[in-house]
Amino acid sequence: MRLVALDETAERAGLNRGQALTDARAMVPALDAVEEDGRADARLLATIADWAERYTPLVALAGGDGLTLDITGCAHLFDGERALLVDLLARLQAQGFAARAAIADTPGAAAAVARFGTSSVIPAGGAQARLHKLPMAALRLDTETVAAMDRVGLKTIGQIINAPRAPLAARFGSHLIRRLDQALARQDEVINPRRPAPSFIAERRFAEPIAREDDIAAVLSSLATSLAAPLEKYGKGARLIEFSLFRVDGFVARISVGASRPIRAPRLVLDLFREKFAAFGDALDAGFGFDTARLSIITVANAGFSQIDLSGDAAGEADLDGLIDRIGARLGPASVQHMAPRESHLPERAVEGRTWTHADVEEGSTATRKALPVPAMAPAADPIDRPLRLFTRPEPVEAIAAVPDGPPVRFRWRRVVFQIARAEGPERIAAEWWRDDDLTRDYFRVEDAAGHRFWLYREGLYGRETSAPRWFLHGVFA
Amino acid sequence: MPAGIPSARDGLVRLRRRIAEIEGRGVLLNQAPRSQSALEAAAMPPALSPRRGGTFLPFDIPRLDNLMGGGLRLNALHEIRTEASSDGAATGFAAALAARLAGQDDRPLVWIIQAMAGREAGHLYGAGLDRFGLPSRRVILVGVRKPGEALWVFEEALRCRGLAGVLAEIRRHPRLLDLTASRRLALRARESGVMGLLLRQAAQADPGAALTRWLVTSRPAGILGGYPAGIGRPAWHLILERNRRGATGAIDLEWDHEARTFAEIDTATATHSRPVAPPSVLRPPSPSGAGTVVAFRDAS
Repeated sequence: MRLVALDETAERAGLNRGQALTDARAMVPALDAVEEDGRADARLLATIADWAERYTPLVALAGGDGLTLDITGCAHLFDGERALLVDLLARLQAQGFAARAAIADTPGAAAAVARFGTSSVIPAGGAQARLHKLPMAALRLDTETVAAMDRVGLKTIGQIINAPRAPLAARFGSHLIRRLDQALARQDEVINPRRPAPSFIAERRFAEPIAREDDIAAVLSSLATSLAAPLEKYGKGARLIEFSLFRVDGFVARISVGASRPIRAPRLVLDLFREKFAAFGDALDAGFGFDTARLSIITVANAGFSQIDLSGDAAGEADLDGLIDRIGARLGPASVQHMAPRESHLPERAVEGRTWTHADVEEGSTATRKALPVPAMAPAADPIDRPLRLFTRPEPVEAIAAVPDGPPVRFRWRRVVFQIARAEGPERIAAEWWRDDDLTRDYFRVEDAAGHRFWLYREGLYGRETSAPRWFLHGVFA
Repeated sequence: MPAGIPSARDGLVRLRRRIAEIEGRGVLLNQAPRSQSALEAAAMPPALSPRRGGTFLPFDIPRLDNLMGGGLRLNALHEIRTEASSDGAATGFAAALAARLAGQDDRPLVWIIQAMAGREAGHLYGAGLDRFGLPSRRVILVGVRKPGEALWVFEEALRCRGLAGVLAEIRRHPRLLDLTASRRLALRARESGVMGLLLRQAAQADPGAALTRWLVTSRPAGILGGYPAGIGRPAWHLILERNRRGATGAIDLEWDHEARTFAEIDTATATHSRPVAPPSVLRPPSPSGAGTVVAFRDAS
């Protein structure tokens, strides 16, 4: 077992990373060692990354122990880069973390200085001077390349900054040149944020943390109001909205709601979050309060300028969309469905529930616009051959039939015996050949003397597929 | 007594009934004082009256429609009840009403169903609804877990003017569905004009604010296509247990799923099966009751 990380006290005691635990114990008998837990570390880093979103929505993980924040355009909100850095480090330290940070033109330079230098802000164009003295490992190279360069005496970045590039690339790989160019802004590097960057953001910071639900709702309302204008300016509406609350102790609560049609009216946004809060109950733990609130619009869709139409039809439709969104926010979007037919002969597979989205309304609108068409000529009278209610799992019944292939004479279901007065069938539905283990079903519509109408089936063809076919009740007719 | 007097009386009854309806509506919509005249009430903005399909959902069976002044009121709550726990009859009657509603109103319907119903009584089946005459496309299915959620969705949906009607299935007797809850639902329906159908399975008669309450039991199906041995048109024995605007009674109805119409079954001449229910007893509003029908406000 070897040491992978040390705290400051251990470092002062002269221990090193990579040292064997037994050696370290020999040097410092009182050593307190904890087994490494990579997953817990990753979780911790993820929570810190969540917290770091208070500075910028673009936060990326840098290795297993670092974060890259793209603060382009964000620094002025914190009174400049230096103030941001100081604030970030102070807050992290207050939470008990030892952290170093650097702000530079490129992610490469910032990472190099943060890991191998001191916490500082590198002025624009000053990267080259700062990197000069730093060891080669600061370029985010793998250990083999660093060791190989060390063997030929290339120890600091300064030694290769102005060296001929072709021999370096030939000897140590193009990766080295790419890393060097990225650090010196000769080549672009894309920061890959953990979460997609929202299209629109509004944010409030509070001198005094807020905790009361009314206050949170008021903040939400004001954030939604401030987002309505830019949304309208670009002709967009929100489809997916996220409300983040940053608690003073670093915890971040995120609540997101979806809208079936693009919305931007603050009242509608607030309505959706109200339902979400109601569904949450007391689960939203305010603790000592939230000091920052942010409303991000993750997904937008085009939304034209709507005009109030006097017939009220559009208002009714908007009302319906609002209703579906509110139900979705409170009970989960999957609770609102429509029944869509599917290509299958098996009754339970012939209809599927699909989550209701606005697309369905659009698609169905031509059909729903007009009242039901009345059949022009009376077609041949077809009986209703599918039940109104279908059991999710067919219910096994004990049935007695006069002949093995015939309809049942009586059957027992849920401890009640039903004497069959009339029966129609069979309707033979074969199993889908690509699904094993399914047997052919013979469906019968039956009615007992009291007028209960059921849909029964016998599973398996007698004599061919099975010698003892079983009976099931699959549905109930009107 | 001269023959002309009863008919004049009937006319008076009809007029009073009409005024009662208009006033009941006017009072609830804008809290107008009782003295407000029928004319004023009739001159209310048109947006407050149902926008499509009139005021009633008629059965197109005059004997039945007359009992309720023209059919089931659209802007009201109606209760359909069955004592069976997995009975297709009540679902069928509710679906038939929904199909007729869909025929006269082009807005969608919301059908609220409890998730556990899928195991206990069967889940609503789209292909079956289509065959039955209610296009499943027009139905927005809302699945809930608890009765409380069902009631919340019911009330929210009844407020939504983009719907033709809302149908909620509630099993047994949840504590939350009391008189107050029922009154709230009735009030929401009256304000928005959205028809509320409360389908209660495995339920005894409870006091409620529904305008009408129907007890549905199954009865042998009617004949379809001249084939008496087959299982033809769905049929039910209906008891109008409660009717706030008139008399109660019982009737046997058959559903024509192609024309989307009801037809009355004359139980005396029904050939294919013995009658399982007492013959229809439908009492027309008696002349003696004429004096009691006045322009009154609803209790709720």
